[in-house]
Amino acid sequence: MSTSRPTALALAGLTLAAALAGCAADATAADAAADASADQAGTAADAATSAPAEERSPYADGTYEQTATYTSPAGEESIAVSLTLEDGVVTAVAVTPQATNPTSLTFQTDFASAVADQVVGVPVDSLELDVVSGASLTTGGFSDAVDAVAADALG
Amino acid sequence: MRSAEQFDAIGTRWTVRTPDPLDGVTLDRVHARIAGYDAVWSRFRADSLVARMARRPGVYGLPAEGVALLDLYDVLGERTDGAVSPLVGRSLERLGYDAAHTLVPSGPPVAAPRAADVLDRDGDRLVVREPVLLDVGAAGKGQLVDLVADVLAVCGVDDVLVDAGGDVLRRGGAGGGRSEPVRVGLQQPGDATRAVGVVELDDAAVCGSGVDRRAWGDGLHHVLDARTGAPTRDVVATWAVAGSAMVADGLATALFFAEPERLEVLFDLEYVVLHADGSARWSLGLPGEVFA
Repeated sequence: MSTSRPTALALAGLTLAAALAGCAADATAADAAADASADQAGTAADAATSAPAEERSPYADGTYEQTATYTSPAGEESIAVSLTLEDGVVTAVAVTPQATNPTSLTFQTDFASAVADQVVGVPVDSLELDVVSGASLTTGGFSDAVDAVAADALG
Repeated sequence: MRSAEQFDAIGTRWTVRTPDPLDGVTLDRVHARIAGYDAVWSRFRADSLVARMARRPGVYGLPAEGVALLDLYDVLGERTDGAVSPLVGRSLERLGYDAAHTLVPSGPPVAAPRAADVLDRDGDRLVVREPVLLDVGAAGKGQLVDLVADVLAVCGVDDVLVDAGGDVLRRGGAGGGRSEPVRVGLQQPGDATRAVGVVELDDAAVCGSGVDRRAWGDGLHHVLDARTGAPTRDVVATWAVAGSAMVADGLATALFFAEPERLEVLFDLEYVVLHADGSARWSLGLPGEVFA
């Protein structure tokens, strides 16, 4: 299910534009304390440029780590993000809070989020699900009423 | 989770999964609990407490669970600057989602009254100064899921999955040394055969709120902004993961209106928010994944 969609990580007022050409985010939720060891480490791209899907990704496989610093009311803090690339696809994301001030640390862990341009629906049969959660399934009165309204509209 | 009990109640399909089949006495207690809740909070019957409060001012005693429910609404109302409110009954009726399910608007949207203007609450006593129609759909179904799980626990069933039309609570999961986490698919709005993500539930609840199932006309659905009485436009579906189904349900509604950070300050939650254009935002601590 890889698609060429830019993916951006939004972290507590700090935006790290790590959109890589030809990548899709397999956005597995990473534990904030996840290990970020890898064979290769390099600086993550900070310019967000999108390329057509047909082009090969210019980024070699491996794990890219970037530490960003920012100034909080408590002083300078840092946060580390690592992205793992395989065949031009982001396969793992890990955010490592490095704040020393307790409030900043709370913000880094509690407010980390990810965004994507376009979610992709995957057939439920392929997912080994126990339950599906969606907008509340309606029964009885509501369903009958919708049918009645539709019938009225046709009549 | 080999055994499943399915039934319809409060307008939705329930599934209760347990390792072993539920006995008749336990099942009766579950149905009694649901019936008791419905008798208080249903907007769709003339004999409920909610219906009586809509006809006549007075002092009304709430059941014990009403305190926690309305306390949660107070917080969500503050976090969403008034967009989430239990006083939206008349606004829903105006758009057609009334007791008779006419599903045809009778006029333009009407804002919900402000609580301070019509009622006072002191613990479980509700002083209704002017008749007002409550609708607790934003968090009530979730609360009832919690209450059903409580009944099962009292009856000795503490390894359970309660699913009320997609609001799901898991108790007694792997953390309690029993069965494996439950995989919950996040249904793609408008397409029940596809999921846009998966959440793994251990000892927690995930509740979804969306505009596609209870929709009855062009732009008409049941997630209303209480300040205007009009259905929301941009956000089309949300899911919240929290420790209880009541809180997850309430937060799923609040996510239509408040930035997630405003809620994360006060609640321990994980979330997914979907927009009409197909974009999504989710917490990195989400126990699961979003497909994008």
